[in-house]
Amino acid sequence: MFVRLFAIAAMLLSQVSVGIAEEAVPRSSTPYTFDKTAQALKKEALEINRDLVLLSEEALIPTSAQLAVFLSLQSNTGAVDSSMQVKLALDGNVIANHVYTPKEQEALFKGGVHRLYFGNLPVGGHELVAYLEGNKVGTSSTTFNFNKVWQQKLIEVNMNLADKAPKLIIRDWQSQ
Amino acid sequence: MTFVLLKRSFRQVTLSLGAVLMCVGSASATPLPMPPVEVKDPYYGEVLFHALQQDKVIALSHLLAAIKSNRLPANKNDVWPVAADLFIDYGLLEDARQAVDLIQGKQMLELQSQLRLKLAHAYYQRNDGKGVEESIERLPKSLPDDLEEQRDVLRALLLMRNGQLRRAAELLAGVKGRTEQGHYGRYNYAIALLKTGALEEGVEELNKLGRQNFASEEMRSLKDKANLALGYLLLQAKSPMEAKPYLERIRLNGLHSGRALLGIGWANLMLSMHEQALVPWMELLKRNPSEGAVLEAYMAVPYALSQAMASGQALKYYDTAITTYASELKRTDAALAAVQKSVALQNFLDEKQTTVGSATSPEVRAAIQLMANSDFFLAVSNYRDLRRVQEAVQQRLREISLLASSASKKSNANDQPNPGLTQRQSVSSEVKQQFSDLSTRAEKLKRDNAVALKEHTAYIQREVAVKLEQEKARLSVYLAQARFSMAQLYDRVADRKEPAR
Repeated sequence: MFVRLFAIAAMLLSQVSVGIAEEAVPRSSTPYTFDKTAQALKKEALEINRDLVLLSEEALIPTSAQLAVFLSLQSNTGAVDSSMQVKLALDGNVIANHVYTPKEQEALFKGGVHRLYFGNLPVGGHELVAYLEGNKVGTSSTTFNFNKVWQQKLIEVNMNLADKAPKLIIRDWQSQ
Repeated sequence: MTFVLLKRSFRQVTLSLGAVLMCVGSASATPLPMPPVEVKDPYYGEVLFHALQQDKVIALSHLLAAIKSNRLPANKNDVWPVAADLFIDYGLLEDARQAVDLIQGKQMLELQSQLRLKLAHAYYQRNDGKGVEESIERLPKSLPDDLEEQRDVLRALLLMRNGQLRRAAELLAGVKGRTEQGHYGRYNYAIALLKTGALEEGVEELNKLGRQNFASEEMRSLKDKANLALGYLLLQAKSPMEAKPYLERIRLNGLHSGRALLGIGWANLMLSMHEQALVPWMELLKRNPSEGAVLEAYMAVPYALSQAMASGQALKYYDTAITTYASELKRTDAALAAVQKSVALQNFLDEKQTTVGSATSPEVRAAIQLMANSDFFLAVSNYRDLRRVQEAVQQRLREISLLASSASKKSNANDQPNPGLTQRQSVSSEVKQQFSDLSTRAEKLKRDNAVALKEHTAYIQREVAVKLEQEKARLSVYLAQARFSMAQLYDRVADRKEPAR
């Protein structure tokens, strides 16, 4: 039988896959030669994005006048709440309001940090209030009083959704 | 980001990598324990936030911005694995290679090795043998077993691609199949054995794979493929009785079921079991005629009927085959004309139709089948990325215009004292120039990208047209064969005055 097998093996193996890339796949009529061009264009697009991110921040608001508020979740144990919404009020004015999609919440549970607000802030005393709302997480809020000096201010709103009553903490990011 | 899984308990993030290689378009997510990484810099966390949502471009843009502005002082060593992974997924392999090289620390060695293997595979998909070899050479000599296996499989694939089958077989002989890549390695080992004439060993290897139980769909499909290879090998060797058990192992709902049903039918026919041959073939006739095995079944059914002396029924089925082939030929012709006039394929290029089952037209079906070809796959993947670049660059141009205007107004306003700020903001002419430069770059990118999109579209259309031409040729042959067979049968009936059954 193996003599016969040998006779047909070459013909058969042209039909049978040879693994991943050599599988019985249709061959290109012409080779694809634009990959380097595509890579260069994609890289330039990334670099324009990068420069715009930096320029928009630095040109409009000097670093020393900047306030950035980041939201993080404390553990991987909370349940995703498709109606979870976080609102920020600075000195009585609402400055940010974000409804978190399940995908965003998953990313937060896994260590991602969301920049909820970026803007300028005069020096002096300020009050920041964070509100959490959602069908599963319920409603809660916390207040943070702080003094802005002439340097960039980074603040973290950290939430622990593991318990029935979520815990909210606001703190300076630098102090950790 | 296909395989960096981040597990966190209060800012303790564990980077864990799963097996990623070998399978085009998919990656296993088996997590491996990796050293914990603490999110110390918020901008690092921001990058993770986008990366974990598969927003590669946004994540990379923020990452590059954070690196350029030194915003990652505390996590500076942690960013490179994330950067490397994102760059590989976005197809920027040179940047990925540089990022992998920048990973430091003994605790990161395993992660670095996994990324080198992922990079090597990306090079392999691009037919860049030098890139594969360089990535493999930079791996440490001693690797954990599963990574060692991946390295061996990659090396063997490269050898096989270069025609060094014996060396590939020697290398793959040690692969145990600890990982999915290892099972592919075993499959490739069997093929290498068969190609080098070691038929008994090759068959034995395929048989082992064909008997194994797997949990994942991808591995079950590989198992089906091994059984299909065995079944057809034995059919060609005119051993239908031996072929049948292998073909019958193949799942009826898998990718290879059509070929399996066709093969079972042929095995039965070779055993003179005409009625039993009709059972799998009639099953195939219920399926979409675009499938190769189904088209063949349209001819096989009347052939079996004619062998069973049921000439009347056979003539009826030949007639059905002729109608089906003619109809498919007409559809393929129309599809080819549409592709040549550039009025087709949009649903496919917009990712609205991505599986053969969802394909409603011959051109989309042809394009989806071509996705198994690495050149075509890369062209389509880059086309889709460049389409997103074009949309993004339009958006960036609008933003640049708005921001430049806003900066200009702010500059004018700052000529007056601002009680809200302790220092006066000013937007220098340098900043205005920066916005202008950025706008010029974005405009140039838009133009260059539009040209590249046209080139990609033309390449994709050309390849699909060639595939459709091949389909047309195949259908024409089938049609001619069906007509000829029908005529022969008519003659036979007339000569013998055979009663039509």
